Amino acid sequence: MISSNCLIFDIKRFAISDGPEIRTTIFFKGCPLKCPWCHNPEGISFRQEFFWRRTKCSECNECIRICPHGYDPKDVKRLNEKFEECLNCRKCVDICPTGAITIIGKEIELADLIELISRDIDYYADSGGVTFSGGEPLAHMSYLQRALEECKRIGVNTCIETSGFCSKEDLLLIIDYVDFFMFDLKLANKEESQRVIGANIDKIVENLNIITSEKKCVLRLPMIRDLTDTKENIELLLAILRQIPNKKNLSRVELLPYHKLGESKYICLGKETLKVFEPSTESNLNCIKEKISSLNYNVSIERF
Amino acid sequence: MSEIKKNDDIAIVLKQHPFMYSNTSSKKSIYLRKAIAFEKMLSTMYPSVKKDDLLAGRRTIYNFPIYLTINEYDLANIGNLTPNYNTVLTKGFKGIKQDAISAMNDKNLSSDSKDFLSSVVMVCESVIKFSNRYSEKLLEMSEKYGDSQPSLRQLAQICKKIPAEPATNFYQALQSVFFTNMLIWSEEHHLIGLGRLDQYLWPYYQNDIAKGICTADEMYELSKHFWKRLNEDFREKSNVLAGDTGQAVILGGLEKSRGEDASNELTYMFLKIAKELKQVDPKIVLRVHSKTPEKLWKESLALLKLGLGYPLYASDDVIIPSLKSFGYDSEDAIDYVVSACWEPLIPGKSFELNNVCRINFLHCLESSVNDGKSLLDNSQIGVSGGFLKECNSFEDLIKNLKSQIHFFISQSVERVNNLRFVPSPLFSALTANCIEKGLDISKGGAKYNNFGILNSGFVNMVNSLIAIKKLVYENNQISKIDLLKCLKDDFENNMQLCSYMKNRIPKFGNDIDEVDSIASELADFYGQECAKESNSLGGRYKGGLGSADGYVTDAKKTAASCDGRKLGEILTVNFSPAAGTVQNGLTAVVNSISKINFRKVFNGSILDLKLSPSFFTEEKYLDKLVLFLKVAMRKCEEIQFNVVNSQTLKDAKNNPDQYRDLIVRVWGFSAYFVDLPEEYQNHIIERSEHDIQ
Ligand code: SF4
Ligand code: SF4
Repeated sequence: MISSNCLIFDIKRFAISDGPEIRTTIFFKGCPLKCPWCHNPEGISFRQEFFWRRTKCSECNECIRICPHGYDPKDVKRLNEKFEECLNCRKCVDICPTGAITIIGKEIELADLIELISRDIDYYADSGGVTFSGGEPLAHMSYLQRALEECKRIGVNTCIETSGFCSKEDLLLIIDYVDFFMFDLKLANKEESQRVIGANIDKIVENLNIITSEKKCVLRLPMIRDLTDTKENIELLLAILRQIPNKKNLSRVELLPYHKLGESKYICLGKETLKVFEPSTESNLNCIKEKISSLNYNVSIERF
Repeated sequence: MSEIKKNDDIAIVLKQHPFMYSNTSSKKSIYLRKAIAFEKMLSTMYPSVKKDDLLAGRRTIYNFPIYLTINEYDLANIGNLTPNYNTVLTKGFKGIKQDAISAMNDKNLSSDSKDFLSSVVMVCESVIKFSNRYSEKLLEMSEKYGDSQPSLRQLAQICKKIPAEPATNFYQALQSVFFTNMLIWSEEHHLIGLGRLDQYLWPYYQNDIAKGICTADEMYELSKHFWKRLNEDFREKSNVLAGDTGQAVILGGLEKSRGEDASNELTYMFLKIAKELKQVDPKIVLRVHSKTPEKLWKESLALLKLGLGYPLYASDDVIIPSLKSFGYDSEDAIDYVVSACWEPLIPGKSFELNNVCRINFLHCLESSVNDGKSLLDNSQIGVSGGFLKECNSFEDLIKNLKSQIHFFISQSVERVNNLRFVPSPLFSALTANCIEKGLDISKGGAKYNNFGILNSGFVNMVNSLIAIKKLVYENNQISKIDLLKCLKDDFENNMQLCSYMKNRIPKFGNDIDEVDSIASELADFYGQECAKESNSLGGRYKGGLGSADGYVTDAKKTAASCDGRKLGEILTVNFSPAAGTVQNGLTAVVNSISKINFRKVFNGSILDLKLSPSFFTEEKYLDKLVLFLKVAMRKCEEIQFNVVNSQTLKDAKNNPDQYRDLIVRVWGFSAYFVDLPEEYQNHIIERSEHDIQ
C-alpha cells in the first residue's frame, strides 16, 4: 500500500552545513514545488520510490532471477511506474547483495526519531541540534509539529530548511518551536514562479516576513544562470529584501551557485535527467553579492 | 679494532665493523659486561660536530660491542619506553652515580645487586667522559671557525657540565635531554619517547624568562634545532616502516599539583615548531581533557591540517581513571605518556612492554566454530572443542568464542613469560626505583612492570558475529555447514554471500546497539582475562584494542570472515570501524566506540578517522571540528586523524570500496567522497593539492 503517512528519506548525523554548530538533519520526503533544478530529486515525491545505484550494482542478476513478474529491477523507471505491484513484493530489494537497489522513504515512529536525535545530544552543545529539511518539511505539518514539540521538550535546538511554501496558519502553528530558519527564495516574478516552480510568490514572501519578524533566518538564493540570476529576478529579490520588517533577524544571505551533484540521483530514480543548468558566472555572482551587501546584509557565496 | 674515519660532517655508520668483545671473560656478570661494552662504544664513538650545531650528540656508531655469551643470545633488548629525563635534569649523571654508590653501602646486598650498581656507576662515568670529549671537540671546532660560530664555544662550556651536573637553565636542560636521548638510542634501545616535554622543561623556561637568561625567541630557536636534530636520523631509528620511531613528544594534559590544565607557553611553542618544520619526527601526542583551553584545540587543528598524521589526541578523562583503576598511583597516572604507538605508559617509572603480543580475534572465532582449527588449512590454532553445528544458539557460539579468547590469551602470555631481557644499567639509571632496589630494569627494578596486549581483527570479529547472528540464527538464510564451506573456499562459489555480508549486514561503528553490545561484551571479557594474567616480573597484563601493524601482517594468515572479508584482505585498523562501513557520520562512530568500557581495555584502544583537508578551509568548519572533538575526547580513549592528501583521494577514486567512509566537505554540505560524480572528485583532489602546500 502507498503510505499516506509522513516519510523520511534520509537522516544525516554530524551535519555541519545545515545551521549552527553540529546537527542532525532529517529529510522529509515530498515537496509541493517542482523546481526543475532540484538536487534532491528523491525528496520530491510523497510516495516511496525504488532507487537503483548503478555504481553499486555488481550485475549479479539475482534480482532478475527472483522477480515473480520477470522484470529487470534495474529498470527502475518501470518499478516506480508499477509501483503498487512492486511495493507489495520487494523481493529484489531483499535479495540484492550489494544494496544497489533500495526503497527510498521510510515511516519512522516519532518516538524512534526523537531517540535517534537525542543520541547526539552531547554534540549539539549550545546551539547545535536538529534541522528539518526535505523535500519540504512544512508539507508534513502534523508530524513536524509533534516532532518540534518533542525536540523542545528535550531541549534540542531546532532549525527548519524551507521554501516557505505553506499556509500562514500552518506556519504560525510551529513557529514558536523553531529557533532558526533557512529559507530558500528562487524566482520572485509572480508568473515565473507559478510557471516554473508552481508556487505563489506572494504567499512565500508573506511567510518570509512572518519568520523574519520573529526568528533568526538565513536566506538562500540558488544561482542558476539565466534563470534566477537575471537582472529582473535580482531586482525583484532585492525589493523583497528591502521590505523585510526586521532586517536584524536576517543574519545572512547565501548565494548558492548551481551544482550538478544531484544529477546522478535522477538516473537512480529512473527519472528524466535534468535539463542542463549552469551556475551563474563569477562576475554576476560578485555583482549580485555587491547589490545585496549594499542593503546592509551579510552575504556569502557558498561555493562547491 | 678498525680505525674510525674522522669526519666532521658525516655521521659515520659503522655497520660493517662489529666491535668484537674480547678483553673480559664471560665469567663477569652480565651487568658489568654491558657497562664495559657501553664504555667501549662511547670511547670509540667519534664526537661529531657540525658547524651549525646548537646541541651536541650525534650517534655515529650503529653496532653495539658484543658482550653477550652464547647462552644469552636469546635475551630480548628492552625498548619502547620513556626514561626519566627529569632525573638527569635535576641530579645529573654525577648525582645518579652518587645514588648508586650510596646504595652500594647496604651491607646486605646480593652480589648481583652489587654488580648491577657498579655497572650503573661505570655507565655514569662513561657518559661524563664522553660529554667531556664532546666539549673538547667543540672547543677545537670553535677555534677553527673563530668568531663566525660563537655558539660552538658556548656549547663547549655547556658540555663540560651537562649532563654530568644538574641543568640550571633552558639551554642546559635541552642539551641534557638531547644527549641522554642520543645515548639511549646508541645503546640500541628502540622506540624511545621524549615524555612530557612542555612540563619538565617549563621551570627552566620560566626561570630564564624571569631572570633574563634567555629570551623566548632564543628558546624557540634552540627548540627548533632540537626538533630538527631528533628528525635527523629518523630512518635509522625506524622500526617496521620508515617513520615508525616512537619519538613521541607529549604535550598538554593535566598537572599534578592541582589537577588543572597543564598547558603553557612551551606547549604552543612546540606546536608552532612542528607546524613550521613539517617533519616526520618527533610526533606530537596531545593530551586533552575537559579543561583544555579553546586556543589549544584550535592550534592543534592547525597542525593536524598539515596532514602529517599528528597530533594524536589522548583523553585524560578516560586514561587517568583507567590507569588508576588498574592500580597505578594517582600521581603517576596523571603523568602518563605513551609507548611507541599510543599505549599509556608511566614515564621513567616503568618497564612496560605495552605491545608485547597480540590476539588475532578472527583466529579465536575460527577456532570456536572449527574445533580449534584454522579455516584456512585446518592447522591447530586454538584449543580443541567447539563446532558451529553444536551451537544451538548465538549465545552458545559466544560461549565457545570466550573459551578460545581465554586460550589465546594464556597461550600468548605463556610465550611472553618465557622471555628474558638484556639488562641496561643506563636505562636503569634513568628509571625510578632501580637503584634503590638494587635491581636492573630488566629484572623488575622499575615501579611498574605491567605488559600490554594488542589486537588484530577485533572489529572484524564483531561484524562477523552479527552476520552469523542474522544469517544463521535469525533469518535462516544459510546453513551452518554451507557457511563454513563458503569461508573455507574463500567465497569462491558464493560471491553473492560475501557481498551480502559486506553490504547488507549492520556493522560496528554506526551506533547500532545490537552490534555495539557484542563489541562491548567481548572487549570486557578480553580485558578481564588479560588482567588476570601475570608476567615474570610480577606485573599484570593490560588488554588493548590497538593493532599496530598486526592488521596487515595477520591478513594472510586469516581465513575469509563473515563480515565479507576475503582471505588476505587487511583486517580492521586499531579500534576503528571497518573501512567503508561508516554510514551514520562521525558522531555515530564515536557513540559506538564509547559503549566500550575503556577501563578494561585501556592499552591503547585508539580510533582512526579519515578527514578531508576540505574540513580545514573555513573557520566555521574548524569551529565545528573543535566542538566535535571536545565531545569525542570525553567518549574515546584516543583518536588519530588521517587528514588525507591528494594521493589518498586519487586512490579513493580508483578503489572506492576501501574508502566508502571518507567524508569530504563539498558545497554546503559534507559528503562521502566515493559518492560524488567524477568531476567533483577531481575538483576536490585539485583543491586538496592546493590546501596541503
Ligand atoms: S541484485 Fe543488486 S547487485 Fe545484483 S544485479 Fe540486481 S541490482 Fe545489481
Ligand atoms: S519488487 Fe518484486 S515485482 Fe517489482 S521488480 Fe522487484 S522483484 Fe520484481
